[in-house]
Amino acid sequence: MSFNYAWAQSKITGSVTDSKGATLRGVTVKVKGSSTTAITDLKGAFSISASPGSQLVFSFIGFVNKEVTVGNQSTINIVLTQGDQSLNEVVVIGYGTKKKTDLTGTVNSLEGSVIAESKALNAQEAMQGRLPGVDIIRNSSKPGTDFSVIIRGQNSINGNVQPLYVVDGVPVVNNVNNGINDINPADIERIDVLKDASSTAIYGSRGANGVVLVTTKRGTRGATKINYDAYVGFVNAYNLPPMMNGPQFVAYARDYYNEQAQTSALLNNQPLPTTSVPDNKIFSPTELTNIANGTYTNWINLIKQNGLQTNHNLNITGGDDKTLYFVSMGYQDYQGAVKTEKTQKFTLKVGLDKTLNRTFKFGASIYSAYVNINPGSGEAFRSAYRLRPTGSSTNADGTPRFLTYEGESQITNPQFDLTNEINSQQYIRVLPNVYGEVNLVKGLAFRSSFTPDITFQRTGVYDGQFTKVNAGTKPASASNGHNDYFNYTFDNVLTYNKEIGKSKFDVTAGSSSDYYQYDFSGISVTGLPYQSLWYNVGTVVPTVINGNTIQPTTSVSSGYSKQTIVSYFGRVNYTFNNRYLLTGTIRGDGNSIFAPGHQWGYFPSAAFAWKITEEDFMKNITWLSNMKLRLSTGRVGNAAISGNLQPYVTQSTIGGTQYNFGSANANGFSPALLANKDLSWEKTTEYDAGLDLDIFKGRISMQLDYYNKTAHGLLGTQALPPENAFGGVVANIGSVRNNGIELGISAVNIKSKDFTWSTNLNYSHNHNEILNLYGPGNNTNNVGQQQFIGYPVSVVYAYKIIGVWQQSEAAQAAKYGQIPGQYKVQDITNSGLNTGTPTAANFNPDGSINPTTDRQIIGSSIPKWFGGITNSFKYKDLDFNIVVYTRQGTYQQSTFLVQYLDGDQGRARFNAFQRNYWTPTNPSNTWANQARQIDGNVRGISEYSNSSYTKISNITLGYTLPKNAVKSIGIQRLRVYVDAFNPFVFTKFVGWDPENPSGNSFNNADFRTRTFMLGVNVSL
Amino acid sequence: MKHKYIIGFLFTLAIGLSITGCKKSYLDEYNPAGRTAETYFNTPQGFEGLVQANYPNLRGIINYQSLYWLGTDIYSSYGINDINYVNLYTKAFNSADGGITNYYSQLYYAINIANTSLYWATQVQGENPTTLNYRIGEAKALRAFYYFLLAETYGGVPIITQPITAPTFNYVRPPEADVYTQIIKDLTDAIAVLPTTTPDAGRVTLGVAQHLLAKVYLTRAYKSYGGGNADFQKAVTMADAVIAGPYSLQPVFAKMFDPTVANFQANNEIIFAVQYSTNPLTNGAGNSLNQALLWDTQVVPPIGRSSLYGKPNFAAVPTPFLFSLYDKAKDSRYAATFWNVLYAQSATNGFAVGDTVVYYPNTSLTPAQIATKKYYTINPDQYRTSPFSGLTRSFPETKKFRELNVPYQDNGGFRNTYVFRLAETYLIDAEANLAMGNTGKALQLFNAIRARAAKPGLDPLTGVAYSTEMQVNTLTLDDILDERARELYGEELRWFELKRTGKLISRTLAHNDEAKASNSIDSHFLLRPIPQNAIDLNHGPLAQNPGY
Repeated sequence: MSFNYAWAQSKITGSVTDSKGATLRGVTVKVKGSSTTAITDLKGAFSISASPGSQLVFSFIGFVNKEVTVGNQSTINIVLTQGDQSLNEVVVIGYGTKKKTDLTGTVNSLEGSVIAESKALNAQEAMQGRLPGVDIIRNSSKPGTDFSVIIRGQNSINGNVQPLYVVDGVPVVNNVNNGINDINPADIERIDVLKDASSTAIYGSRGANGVVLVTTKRGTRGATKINYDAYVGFVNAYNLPPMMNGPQFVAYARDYYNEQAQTSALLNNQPLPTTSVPDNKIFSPTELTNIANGTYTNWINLIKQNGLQTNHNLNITGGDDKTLYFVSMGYQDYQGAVKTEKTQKFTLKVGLDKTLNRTFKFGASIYSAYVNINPGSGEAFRSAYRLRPTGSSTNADGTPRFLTYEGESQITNPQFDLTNEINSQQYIRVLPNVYGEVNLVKGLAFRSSFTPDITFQRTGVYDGQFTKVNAGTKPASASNGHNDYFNYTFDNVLTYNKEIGKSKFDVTAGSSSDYYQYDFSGISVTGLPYQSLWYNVGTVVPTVINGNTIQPTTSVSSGYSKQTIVSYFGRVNYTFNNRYLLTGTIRGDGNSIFAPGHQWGYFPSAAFAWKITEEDFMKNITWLSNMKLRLSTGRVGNAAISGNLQPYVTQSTIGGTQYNFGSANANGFSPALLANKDLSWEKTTEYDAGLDLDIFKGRISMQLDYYNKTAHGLLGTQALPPENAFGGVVANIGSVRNNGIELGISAVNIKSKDFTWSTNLNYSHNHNEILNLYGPGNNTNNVGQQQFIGYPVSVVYAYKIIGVWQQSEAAQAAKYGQIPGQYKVQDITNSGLNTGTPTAANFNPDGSINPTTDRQIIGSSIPKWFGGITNSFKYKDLDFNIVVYTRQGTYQQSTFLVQYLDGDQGRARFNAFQRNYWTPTNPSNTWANQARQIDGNVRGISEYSNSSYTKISNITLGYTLPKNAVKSIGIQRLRVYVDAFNPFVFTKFVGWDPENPSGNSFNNADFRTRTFMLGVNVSL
Repeated sequence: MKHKYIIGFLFTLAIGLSITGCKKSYLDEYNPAGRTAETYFNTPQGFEGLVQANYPNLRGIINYQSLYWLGTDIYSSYGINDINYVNLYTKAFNSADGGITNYYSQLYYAINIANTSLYWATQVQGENPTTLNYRIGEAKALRAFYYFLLAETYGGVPIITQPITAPTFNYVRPPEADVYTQIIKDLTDAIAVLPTTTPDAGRVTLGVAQHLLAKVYLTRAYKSYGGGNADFQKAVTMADAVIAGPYSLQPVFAKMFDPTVANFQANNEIIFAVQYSTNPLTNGAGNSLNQALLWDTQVVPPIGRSSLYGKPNFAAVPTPFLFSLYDKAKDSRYAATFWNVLYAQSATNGFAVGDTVVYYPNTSLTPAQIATKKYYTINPDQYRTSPFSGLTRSFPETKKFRELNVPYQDNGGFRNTYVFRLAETYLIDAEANLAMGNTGKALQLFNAIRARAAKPGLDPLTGVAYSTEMQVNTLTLDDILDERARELYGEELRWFELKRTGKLISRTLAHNDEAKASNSIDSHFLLRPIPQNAIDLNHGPLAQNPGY
């Protein structure tokens, strides 16, 4: 036989393609049982020597291995089919990558294609609803906003709860915006979210809130590929809460004034007024004219627009064995639904990777973004909702009218703010990277990487005299600010892989230093003679307004802060017989912001995984292609950066005070904070048990995790009794536990020649609980900050409204000093903590309402569960995709209600939320009578409600033109699509947006918007 | 082969160490922009800055108009149908009230700065010993002032005399008498070291401490644990010392309040004033006193938004009783304090600029007389209502605190707030003398104020000088409180004055129509509730005042 073997060697050639006919390069072709291998070239071609009867194995990442027995033929053409993605998927972990099947920790991933298809303006929003255990809410409704991301529950009481963001291996922090907000979603190759302690421990002190790893696109081997994606759409406001129109408001105001006089008399034991309040006491002369003429103003319509959104993304990639290149350009232009709101983003990424020889490789890339944000007026939106519809937007001669009616000089015509209040933020962010790799010997590699993260920002604010801010009585003002951020990360990492028999090792060890520096300067002036924005702050002059001469002012400021972190880390993975996997990790971090003696922290972890399906006794179960059990534990820290723990917090810093003695300057300095030199790391201990399943050759795959994590020594501001002079001190206080389950399922429900239907589903449930607030064993609640042991970190502790006092209950109401039409508060009278479900034991009505005994826990802003479901359908060349997201069990205060149920209603001053409220003739049990409900505390509680919601995040319908039709014009692929982004929301919440219920109505609130887009995707 | 591995590890180690190990200072905090207490307050310049930081606290503390004014005989709530529990003394006034919560916090914040100053006074190197003693006196006098306000508002409160360097959660309330002991000790110490005058307008001087101590003794004299006549006598001694000091009554009352008079605030009747200036670098948010005690004149179209008549802050308004106290024919203070005519600021609704729009006659006009006028006439019995839109009342607009060149009387005013004025020292002295039965001396002091308040010249009806006619021969405690109202309207902390004299309940029920209708004031309201957050955040029990 051995003789035959020798002379029967023959040369086999052929090519490898994928199921769509595209050539595959880089496919490994190996003669089974020998060391002979070949790699396919650019055209997918290979050439290898093999004897007849031997077997060729074709393997390529992402594709199913194929074995072919060599016969007499000299040419073998192979089609590789895309494999079970979940088995071959490679995920990014800290300081390295790993095949998903070899993971011992919990990692969830999003492919770049999913991110691009989400049509979200930033990566955080793209992740929403698509990853289990990752809770994402918006920070503001304004365009260009950041999102808040909370992984596996709120892990701190008032410390930082946001994850660490790592872009291409480099931790990025919030400079101007969140660390990844500036990355164009189209440039993202993938996002991997590390959740359990064994995965995050490699980031040590910064891993406790999870780690989001963003990998941007790099060059790929092969012919030059050009991809162009463009879409345009309009931005539309929806889900607007109902406000009163003119006649409704007139009726409401009259009712209000009369009811107020009645209430005043009732409560003051005076005779009830018998005549009603005349209209001229309720409305100004201008309003009376408008009411008589039936001319009302819808202020909201005056500021609303359908914005235009435009996106263009172009990327070019290619390379050969030694050199890879990537160029990408992006342009984003977004107009909000309020006039003048506009954000623009230009991004450019250029990267080059060069392999010199077997030993050396280096590369460099630069990611840069230029962002231009014009958030529009911070006031126009609020004023449009506040103003009475009975005011006038124009004078008799048609010119715009600043003060809309007599007596209202604070809330001004929002049209003036649109033109006279101009805000601008422009910044350039540059993220360059250079690295070098040395493959010292087989299996041992060293990589050194240096990555600065630099942002230069200019902020400009201009407020003309005729703006809400300056009220028409103050001179025009402007400010010009500069913020410069210089950060860098310097990593040195050594990796070593070794296989000995059935044992496989891979070892990672390294060091990292991080540097964060910020400085700013700013000038603010008043008295600008003309609308020079913030570009000519030297030209201020005295301004004469209403006969008063107002002197100009100029004030300047600057500041600096710096933080440094030094780290050493190591990780060992050990695999035995491809079944038993062990991972051990440790990181030591030193952070400059703590006082000497408290600067260093150590964070170890360990994990074990068992690939059950690799066991012999499982081999016969063919429907189960993968079953893996994972167990991990570890200790990680909370990031002392980008949260509210800032440099110098352990120093007894001083702050400036302003005063004068006569005309002499008497500015001084006073202690700025209560320094806590003992401040230390917040440490989280986490346990995780997970099960991964792939069924029916990957038709269904599932990832199920249970976790339990406890954070100790929470960093936060501890509120102090007021006698302490300082309202709070930053301290390590208390412990919080989060435990929960996460489930992710992806299934290909139907797969036929023409039709495919697949579903991705995720579900997360988290239980959040304060374990202690002042150290283990201490059961003291912090009532002042509404923190209670055994309850979530964020609860609403207040009276419970159980209806409205009705006329028939007047006598009972009187016992409480109340009258019909006011909210009825539950009288439970229990000296202990009331949890919202009174029992016989704690329900002892005593006829009075008292904060000590009658407040209850009535809800929490933390969701009980959330989840998302994505359904994708493909029929021939048509594709259809719908994403639904839901977040349930939240209870929050509505800013809308704060303003338009409660806001300054002393004179029915604001337009009001259109609602069914109590009057003597309308016995509503839902909304109290505004004039009668004089207790602001109780009124405030009525503004809380269930803010759960379900939304459709995205609907896409696409059509890919037949290949033949486009090939003739040199195009490989051409797809056109329509997309509805955030088109519907379903909620009982009263307010603009259940995703941002309690955002400030100044500078933060805005319409909830949806975008309808038309797009095209071209590949050359 | 092996040496390659070794080289690899050494290589990594070397790079790792080169960036971190060698530079031990990599983790040191670098803070060029900031300084710390330890490195700054021990220098003379830092210590001076620290003592100066005491004064801005006064700007906030002296501005708690709702607590000082509402629910008294001469002030009530702003709007016609207001239901303001601070004014009405209803059940709704409880420990959650924002005013009493913030007031408490601000006072303790200010006390900590005083305590911090006193601590660094023992550490500072190179400060002139005389100046150092003076600074100690300033801090002690201010601390005493804050404890006095705390004790009168809340009763016995935690006494803290050391700077806060670590959180404390187990405060307890000592008896109110102990707080007074601390106040008197601080003031006595301060009086021993403070100078008579200072080149720095607005700094605490000897007179400030003496005036305050006179008031403290006067207040304690009425109390069950107080010293009675001994305290009254000490009050007299202190007040006499102030009167003998570098102060004198100004000849013309109006000139101390009229911003069109040059240097109107620079006069030696003012003992202590919270300072403001036109320099935005030192003025902070500025003075908002100009917005006090106004009604909303902008609802009258010919007036509109006006810088002359100002913008109300809705905190409180004068009651009709206050207006009834003035003898408008003889007392110059009425015209110095109020506008009785409001003029058109813009030409609209048939008025030309400068036309009379609203007129407040001293005595009521008949409907027939009123009908002949184009302008609105508002008789003294109509001050609780108004013919204009909104729920405002229309009464003679306060002009005592108006600002020039503050558009529409927005925030950010420049004029000082008078805290102690010699006229008040006279009235304190008179009150203490009256209590001890020295009616003669009391009358002498009292009439000095009356005579100065009189209009100049002779009464044409009698041929006698107004200054003579204004003087009186008999005196009661109520007379003194009435005179304080006329003289110190908008200046004195009225609620404390009524509380001290035991007249809060009776005079409020008699003269505040809203509180009278509510009729729910009782003795438990003589102390405000301890803020709920002070109770909630304290780990041990902090007693609430009875009745809350």
